[in-house]
Amino acid sequence: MANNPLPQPTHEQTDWASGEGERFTLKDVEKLQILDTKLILESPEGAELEIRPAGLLARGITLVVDEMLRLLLFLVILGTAALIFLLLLGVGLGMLLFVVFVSFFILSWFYGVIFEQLNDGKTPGKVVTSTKVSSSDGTPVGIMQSIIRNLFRQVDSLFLSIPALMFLGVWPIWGWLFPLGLFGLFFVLFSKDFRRLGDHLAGTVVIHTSEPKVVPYKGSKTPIQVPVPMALEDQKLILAFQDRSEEFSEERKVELAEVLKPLHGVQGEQAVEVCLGYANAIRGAT
Amino acid sequence: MKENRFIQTREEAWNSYKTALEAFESSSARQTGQSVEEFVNLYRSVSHDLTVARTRHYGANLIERLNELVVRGHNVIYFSRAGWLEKIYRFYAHTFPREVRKHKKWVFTSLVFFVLPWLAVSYCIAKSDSFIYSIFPEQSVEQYEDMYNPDLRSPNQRFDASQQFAMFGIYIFNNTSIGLLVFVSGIGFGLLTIFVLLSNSVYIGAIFAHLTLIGYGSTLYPFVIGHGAFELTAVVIAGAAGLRLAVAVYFPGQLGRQTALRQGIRETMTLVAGFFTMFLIAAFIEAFWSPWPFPPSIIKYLVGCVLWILVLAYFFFAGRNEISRFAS
Repeated sequence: MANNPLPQPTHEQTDWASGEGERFTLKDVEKLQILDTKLILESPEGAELEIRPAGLLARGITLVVDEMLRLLLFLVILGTAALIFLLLLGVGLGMLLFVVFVSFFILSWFYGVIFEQLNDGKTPGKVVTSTKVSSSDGTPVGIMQSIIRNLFRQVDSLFLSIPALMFLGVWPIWGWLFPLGLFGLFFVLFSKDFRRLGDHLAGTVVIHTSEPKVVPYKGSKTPIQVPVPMALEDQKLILAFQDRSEEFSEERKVELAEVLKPLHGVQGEQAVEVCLGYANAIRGAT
Repeated sequence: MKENRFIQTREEAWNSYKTALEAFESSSARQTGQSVEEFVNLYRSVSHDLTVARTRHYGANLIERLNELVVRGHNVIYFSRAGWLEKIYRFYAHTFPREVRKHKKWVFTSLVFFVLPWLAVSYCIAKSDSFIYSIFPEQSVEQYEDMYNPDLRSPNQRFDASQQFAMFGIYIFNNTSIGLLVFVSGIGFGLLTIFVLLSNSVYIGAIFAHLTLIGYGSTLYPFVIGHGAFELTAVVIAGAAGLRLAVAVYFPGQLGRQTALRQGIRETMTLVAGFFTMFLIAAFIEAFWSPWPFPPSIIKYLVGCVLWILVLAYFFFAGRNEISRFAS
């Protein structure tokens, strides 16, 4: 105890809160913050901004959707060219092939760049998963950053590129279509904010854009005085209970409110009322 | 101050901030007469409110709301616009040739990787007639021979502009992709960069030496000299950029490896944009000028030499005296 510099919560505080007498130390809280994937940025004004990096699942779905769309776009261009060729009875074949090759080139290298620049960091796959690319300082992604992160996508599938080059004599331009993008997977898994190699090099991060669910509390505003002085962390828990009460089912509300039974001594709906009342008292009269 | 009082006092400021924010976000600020100064002041005060709300541990809903307002304002304010036309001019007239000179160490290294195997393989083929077959299979050699055989070129051979358009597309796709991959793969310890430089050098050197020896040079060189000025220099620059990245992986120096790499990329992106443009120019020349049968060989040589001199002069002299014009 003596060589631990962190202040320990008192026995009383933890005892009634958990009901089991389990002690939640500040060290545990620190661990929780490491587990949390939120990225804290400090703006020049000194305010701390929170952004939420997108994880492996969201990134994976994005990849699949984008690659399918990339392929689809290419097939549409190819099909249109073929149709025009048939309609014109062979005139302008060279021109059509030119369009096909150039669009193949643009799609394979600049698909991501174009969408990220025109649609505020969102490729169609990212629209589907409600994510977007952002600069790691929270500002919109720049064109150079877009180019860098999409150029180095090739490296994600380097283990496929080398054998393809050595044995087939071709560069697998769409190499990352195959599930062999081991480099990419490795980097996403082992970096703190799920960034792939291109993200690290460009200084970007893929973040969630979906608004966190906020349902305003519409219940009673009557304050009920809390019978004991309450620690700051506990006050925040009570406030969070009120803020989130609209999302909870009735049963869950009762279950949570009854945790404080040693404090208020009531059960069921009544306990919920009392806890919401505590929150009103903490928040102050309107 | 309790949370609800805080909201009451500040609500009005937040709403006027939000109105201004929406105007700036949709770039309609000028029409609606929003002043930048006022918006920035509001932004500062809302940032302050967010910090205050955090330190006073107000409810999550309030903090979430303020956080969203501040993040949106942050995105509007910290974003720069500059004249793109001037940027492009400055890039080609000034930045690109200067950056190439700045990286002359790597350009030279890349040149060595590209030229030495070329010379070596040429020497080997000059010494031994059958050496070409240890590089290419017999079929490919025959194909190349047919392509450049002066006797097979009938004078009434048609120059099909339509077909050349298709070739233009292929050159853009293939050559530029290889250039980009030479650069990008520098990050994989530079092995692939060097491999591609060496193998291309060996292939080109072998074909050139073989065709020259069997007397097909008169059709080969007028064809390649024009676009070669851009294509070969672009390959060397791509190699230089790739090697620069590889060096950041091997020897990050005082920096962390990631920082060293980021710095390397920041430096080399200029080279990348430059060689990208050069590949496009080379593709155009290769598709429309080089195969054009009308101009006599002497014109092809002349134009080719002029292009080589222009490209080399560009890298040696362009952008040297323009610092004062752009210093402001």
